[in-house]
Amino acid sequence: MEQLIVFLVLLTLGYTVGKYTESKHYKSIIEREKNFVNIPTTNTKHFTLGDKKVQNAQLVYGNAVISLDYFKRFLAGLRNIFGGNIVSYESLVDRARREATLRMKEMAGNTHMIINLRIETSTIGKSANRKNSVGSVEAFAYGTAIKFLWGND
Amino acid sequence: MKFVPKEIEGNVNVSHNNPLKEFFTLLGGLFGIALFVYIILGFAVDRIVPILPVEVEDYIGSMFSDSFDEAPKTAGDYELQALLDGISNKAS
Repeated sequence: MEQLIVFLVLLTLGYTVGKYTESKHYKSIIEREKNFVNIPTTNTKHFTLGDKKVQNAQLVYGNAVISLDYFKRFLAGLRNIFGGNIVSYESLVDRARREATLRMKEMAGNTHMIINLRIETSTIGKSANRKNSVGSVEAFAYGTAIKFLWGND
Repeated sequence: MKFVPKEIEGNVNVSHNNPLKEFFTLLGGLFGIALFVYIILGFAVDRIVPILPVEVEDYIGSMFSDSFDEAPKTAGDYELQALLDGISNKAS
């Protein structure tokens, strides 16, 4: 009985706190994405520059680790029994990738564009590399920040 | 081609289903299956027990008997045992 109570408390706590944290994080992501909307970011490796000259090209990267709450972990476990879309992992991966990309852009600072964007994802923590188990997700975004030389710059 | 900054609207990478609805649907499905198996086994017992050999019954019993504590025998138990022995003797 005690175990059931602990389980239900963890489940409720995971759902309420996890939902609050997620919505707060998404709010922050959307807000910061608006600030960086003027920086063109592309995954293309070769880029035609036309008559523009490159003043500076620099490797920029961002890293984010996001963890799963208890409720979502349990939900994913249930979904593993029946199969289908694991909805609870979707927001986890989405948040990690967007956060990592944003941090990369923050590192780029006052740049004109970012090319060759790549995103790597891996599991991290106690349950990393275990079958049917995801604890935390790490997303690592990297690219080349380009600054052009304008006119008399 | 000119770059025109555009804000992202919505999020296509995340499903917008209610997680609580999914939770109760999955949990309900799981309990439903468990209940179905329980009922099927309940009916199966009635059909299997009459044709089950005594050796198999003993084997199944020995698997679970260790997990039960043996209660000290009462006067009633001894009386019942004497009656059963009497019946057994008369039958033989």
